[in-house]
Amino acid sequence: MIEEKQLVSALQSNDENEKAFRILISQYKEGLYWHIRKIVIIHEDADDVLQNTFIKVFKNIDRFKGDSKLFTWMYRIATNESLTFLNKNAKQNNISIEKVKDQLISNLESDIYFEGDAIQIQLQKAIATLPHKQQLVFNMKYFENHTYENLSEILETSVGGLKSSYHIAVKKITNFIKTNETF
Amino acid sequence: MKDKKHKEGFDIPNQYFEEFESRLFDRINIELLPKSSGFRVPQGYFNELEKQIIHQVKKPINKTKVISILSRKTILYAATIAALAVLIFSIVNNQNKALTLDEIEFSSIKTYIEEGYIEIDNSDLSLLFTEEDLSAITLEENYISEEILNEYLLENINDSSILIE
Repeated sequence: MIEEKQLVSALQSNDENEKAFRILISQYKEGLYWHIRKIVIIHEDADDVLQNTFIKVFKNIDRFKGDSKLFTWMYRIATNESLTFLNKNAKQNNISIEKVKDQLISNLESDIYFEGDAIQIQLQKAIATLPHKQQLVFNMKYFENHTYENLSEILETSVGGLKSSYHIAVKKITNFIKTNETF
Repeated sequence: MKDKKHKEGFDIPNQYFEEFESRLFDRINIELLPKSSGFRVPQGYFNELEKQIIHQVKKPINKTKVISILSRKTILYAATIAALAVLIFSIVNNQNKALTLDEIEFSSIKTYIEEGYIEIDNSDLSLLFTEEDLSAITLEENYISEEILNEYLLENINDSSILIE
């Protein structure tokens, strides 16, 4: 993996930026994709949001001052882009963001890019019942294996706060699954 | 139990024992959950991604130039037709009473903009203010508390570019 500082200065230069951008995409595309996909649920939407995220990163790279890590900054953009996307969707259909998420999850069974079974759908339903921040913490910790230190930077929350958020999330999710067992 | 003899040379992370139960129960509970989310991607999706994104980054430069002239013309025509329609309508139907901006409820205008019927560009918006107006706003900065402002921004601002950095 190329050193982050080197990559940033290459991205901010005029002659090397395209090459550096390709390296950036190849290093972060999968991690960011899965992060976005868990928020927006559908592959096509995740693809759109992911592309927008990288475009935004590319266009705003000169404003990146290195106060945070590059990947933390990109995860923040990806999170914001995903939420903006869901919000727009909710506004267009004149429903709440929670309702949008419910609808997306109830359509999962017929989604060709979802190969989960009943319990995986239940898990998504359980996650959707959590407050937004807890959803992020749970997904990023459970599925994406981020460390609390990384999460703390991305979500701008203390490690202690994140630990208790995760703990509460796990509790709520397992309770939901136990009480809604259909498999 | 005296801790002293255990501590000789060994150390534990901060809060280790305080958090032990919750970590243990999380682990037991989590055994119930599936290990993967069940989402998948089309075959070869990640291999094609760089090409697509680079293409997207380069595209707007060529595209907007062509569209901007066309769309401006279209907007001009549409605006002219709309203005004529409004004019005729107000002459025919409302000869004595023309609707002024003051008579339209503020909330209706807000909804109209929020619904996306009108695009307001930041530079257009800034033209509506003179420097005096802007400095007057700055003078009154204590009028809105930071807390209320933060809350408002979090609830109402969707554009993530503002939140970057």
